[in-house]
Amino acid sequence: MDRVIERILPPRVMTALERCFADRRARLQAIRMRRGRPLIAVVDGEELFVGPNGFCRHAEAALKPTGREIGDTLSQATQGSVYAVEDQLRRGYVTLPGGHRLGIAGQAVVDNGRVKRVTHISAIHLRIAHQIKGCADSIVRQICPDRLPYHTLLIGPPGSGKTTVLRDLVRQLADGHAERPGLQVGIADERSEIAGSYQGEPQLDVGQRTDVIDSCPKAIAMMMLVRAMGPDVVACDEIGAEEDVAAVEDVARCGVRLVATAHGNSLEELRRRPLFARLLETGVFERVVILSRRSGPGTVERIVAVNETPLAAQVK
Amino acid sequence: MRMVSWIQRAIGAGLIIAGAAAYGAGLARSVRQRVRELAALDRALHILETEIVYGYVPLPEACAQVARSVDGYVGQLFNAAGKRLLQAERPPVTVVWKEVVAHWGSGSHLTGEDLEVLAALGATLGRSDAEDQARHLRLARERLLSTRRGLEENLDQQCRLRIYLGVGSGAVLAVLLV
Repeated sequence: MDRVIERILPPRVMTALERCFADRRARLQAIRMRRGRPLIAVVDGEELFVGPNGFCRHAEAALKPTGREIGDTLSQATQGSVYAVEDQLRRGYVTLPGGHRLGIAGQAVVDNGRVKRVTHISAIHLRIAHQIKGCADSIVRQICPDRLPYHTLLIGPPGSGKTTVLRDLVRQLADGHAERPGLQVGIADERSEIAGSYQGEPQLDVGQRTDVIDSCPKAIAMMMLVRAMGPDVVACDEIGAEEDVAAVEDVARCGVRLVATAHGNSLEELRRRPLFARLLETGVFERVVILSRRSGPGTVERIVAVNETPLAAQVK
Repeated sequence: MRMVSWIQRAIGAGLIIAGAAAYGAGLARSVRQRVRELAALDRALHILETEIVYGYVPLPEACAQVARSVDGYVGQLFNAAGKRLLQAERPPVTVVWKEVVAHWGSGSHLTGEDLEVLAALGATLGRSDAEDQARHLRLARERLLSTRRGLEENLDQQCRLRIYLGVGSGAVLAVLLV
């Protein structure tokens, strides 16, 4: 198991997890600790109870983390300095070295409609970062036949691997290969999910020519990247708000290619949503990649050419 | 022969009284030193609070900063805590704090009562937001300050008392023994 995870989990939980994986080769994706309730591990997409001697069928036999253990985990995750990540905790999570993410739930103290702090933390959701290099191979070939890629939108339901595919896509575009030089890529990583940055440094491989603006609203980060870093491609995750769509249009008008993700099961569903209908009609996005979990996360269902007339041409 | 015996007794009594007086003076110095260390501790906790509340500086660095600003045992305690927190295995703050307070506290002039206040901080240090950290640190400082003020109020009197007690008990012992 990752050293970072070993360091932050309470000894009782760590021992139980080691017993779970002693004779089993499986991928641990997440750990859910709730005060006084069964400890759950997400393994290869399946939720399993964790008992003192390994996985167990019944919740009654599972370990039940104490409030102290939850506090210890958060303290260890922040190097004994919870106060130093107050801003991140207000958003509900902390990014750890290695790109892992620790989500928290507890009592929020709200002032003027904004979360001032979160106290009495009673649940922790530790998502373990996994990078699947090569999962975007089939997409890169189709969306980037020439030097620059098409403006591309990756859509899929939750858990379909949109972020994982986007990360690999960005990596491949930035690194290039023998026939295609690498591109300057900028990532607007509002929730630190694409690059898993820790103290501003990407913890996951997002390519040799990639700049990341971390923990910044993506609409602002995208324009900062365009103005400051001169990217060929800007990537962002989970567009959906009015300001995101406006920023996407602005970036496309600047002649910078876009690669983004959005929630959605199909192109038809996306067209029914006014904001996306606008993006698709105005020709901002030229390719839509539809992902699913049919053969595991990151399954490419279809790649659709939605508008053959790029926005740049329409502007002219 | 009698003369020699008398001189020996006088020297013996003198030595007993001087030894007891030195012991009393040592006790008096220890009280003064405790007051100095309580003041250093107050300064250290104040710096720590500033680093946490205004700088959001991670605890290992904040401890190192305190160690650079405060001398003596208190500075050494914070220096040890900062270094230990940065060790590869990343020991929990509660464990580190308990260890360093026990180790460096035993060599200082602080009493069990003072060290108890300091040790209690370990349960909360770094575990909450800056506002809450400031509250705990201020509470510890107030408790230590009240002890220090109590000592300072009659410090000279207490020191004199310890010296007199040393001399007095030495004299009594000399009369009884010699």
